Amino acid sequence: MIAGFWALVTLANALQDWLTLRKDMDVAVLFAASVWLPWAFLTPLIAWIASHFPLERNTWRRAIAVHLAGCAAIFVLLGLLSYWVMPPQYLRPPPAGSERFRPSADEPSPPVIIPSIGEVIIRRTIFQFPIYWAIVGVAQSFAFYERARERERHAAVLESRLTKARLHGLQMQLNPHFLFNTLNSIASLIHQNPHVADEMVASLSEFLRMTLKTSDRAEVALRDELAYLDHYLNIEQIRFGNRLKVERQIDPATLDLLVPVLILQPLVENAIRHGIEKQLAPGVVRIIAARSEDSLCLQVADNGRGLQQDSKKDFKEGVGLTNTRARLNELAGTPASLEVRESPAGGVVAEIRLPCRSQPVT
Amino acid sequence: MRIRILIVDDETLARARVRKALADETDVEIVGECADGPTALEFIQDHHPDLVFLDVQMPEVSGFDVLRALPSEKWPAVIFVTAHDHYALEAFEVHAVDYLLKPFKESRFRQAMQHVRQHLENRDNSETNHRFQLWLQAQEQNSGYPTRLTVRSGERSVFIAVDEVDYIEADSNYAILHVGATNHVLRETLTSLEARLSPKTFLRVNRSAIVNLRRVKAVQPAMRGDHVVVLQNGKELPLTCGVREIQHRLEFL
Repeated sequence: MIAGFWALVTLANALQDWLTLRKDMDVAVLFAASVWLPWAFLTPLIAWIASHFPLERNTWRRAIAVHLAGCAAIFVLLGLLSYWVMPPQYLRPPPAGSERFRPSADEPSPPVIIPSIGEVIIRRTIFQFPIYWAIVGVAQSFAFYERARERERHAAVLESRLTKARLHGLQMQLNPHFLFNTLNSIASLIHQNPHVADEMVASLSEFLRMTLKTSDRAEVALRDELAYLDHYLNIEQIRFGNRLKVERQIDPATLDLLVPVLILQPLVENAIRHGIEKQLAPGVVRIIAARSEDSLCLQVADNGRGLQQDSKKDFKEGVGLTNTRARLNELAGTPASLEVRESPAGGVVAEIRLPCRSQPVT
Repeated sequence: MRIRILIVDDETLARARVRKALADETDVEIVGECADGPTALEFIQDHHPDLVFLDVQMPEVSGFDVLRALPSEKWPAVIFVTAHDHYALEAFEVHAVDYLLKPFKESRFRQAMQHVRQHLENRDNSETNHRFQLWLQAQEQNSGYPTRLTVRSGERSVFIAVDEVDYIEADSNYAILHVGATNHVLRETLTSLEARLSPKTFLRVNRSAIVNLRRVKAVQPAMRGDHVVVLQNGKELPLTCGVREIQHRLEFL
């Protein structure tokens, strides 16, 4: 595209010279080419300089210096090139009144004033200096445009991830396996123990309600997240009876700290689904919240079978974990992390580390 | 004739729900309840119930695994019970297998029972069972390395946890599983077993033995530059697959 553009300029210039200055066509083309075609090679170079030394608030001094040095080098080079390709005596227009094409050999040629190299370079510089800066300008605005688009794209990615997290929250409450087994338990309890059935319906409702209510908020106090978790755990404990034991070690100093909404529930659900539901022996799910200096550490541990290294597929993070990780990364500018590992005592530990904050960030 | 029924589900409340629904039936007798697959398999083989309510999703050994362990001629009538398993539902529909979705309505339950009564009278569902068994086997092949092997001894089948196997010896076309003090004969060649088991934990150390790498205590030099693998139980097996290979596998176990 760049080459095409400069070829077009060359042609236009040659045509103009041919028409107005009555130059020979070949001379005109050669002349125009010597002036313009180098730019086809220089343009990428200048664009490169422009992109590596952008004219921005902090860097403009350096950028200008680099550009000026670039200018000097380029114009010396250009001057030499044109001097070599097209000696100055050719540049003179044919004498007025002579025939269009060749000056006749009989006529004495007018005195030829041959400009020095320095003169050519200076002339070129004055003439083409703006071209250089025009290219810089175009490259610069192109870079700005690209960056704006990149930012837009990035924003779109973040947006979609948030949407996905929300969607996942919805799927979680509608996880069919969980939902239908819970309803089945309730159906059974209605006959067997109406009081517990009643409690389970309330827990399920509360769990669903909180999922719906919080889905437009990004962060909640750990206290609320734990309350939400309790409804979920209440249901699972009724379902699994003594197969599931829940232990909580919550540092009271962490209760008012902010955590991304629904950040713990997927981890606890993972622990129950993979750690407890798949094994016959009674399982323990341990939820730990601790504060160390500036960071909040949340742990969900189970004593199940671990990450199942024996299965043909290597341990792959499911939608839940991937999403949790992505959401933690989204907490812009904060060193939040999620680590899932096998604990030496057996089972899996998922650990989240967050910076301590207690005021909602606006 | 009373229909002798076994209820299999890992959730107590789910079993209670089936029991409650059966309370109104006059021609049934609940002969047992099991909370997991291995117990269910044993119970079915010991007591030959006429009908089993079988939960599909159970820990470690699923309802499908229980049926897989039995030859299809030995299957009791089965009503599958599941909360949600899109894939299984499709198979149930295709093979006209009875199933109930949790939570089920009493009317749907009666309908399934009616269906079963007809089955039991005709006793002619071998074709259906056989086709469904083929489907089950196809499923198994897609589900990765088995955590249990089904061993048949005479009329009975038992599950052997793969982790508990010390080593496996070849005996012509049979494989002998050494599990602690007991041996089980599996009607399968060593090569076929080798392909089925996870290469992470099992290694064929010579032409006629596969060892569970977790049971390896040492690799020792033996006569004439050969090596032997010593298991925790003291058993020594000649090593021909290369010391490097087994060292590497043990290090990355």
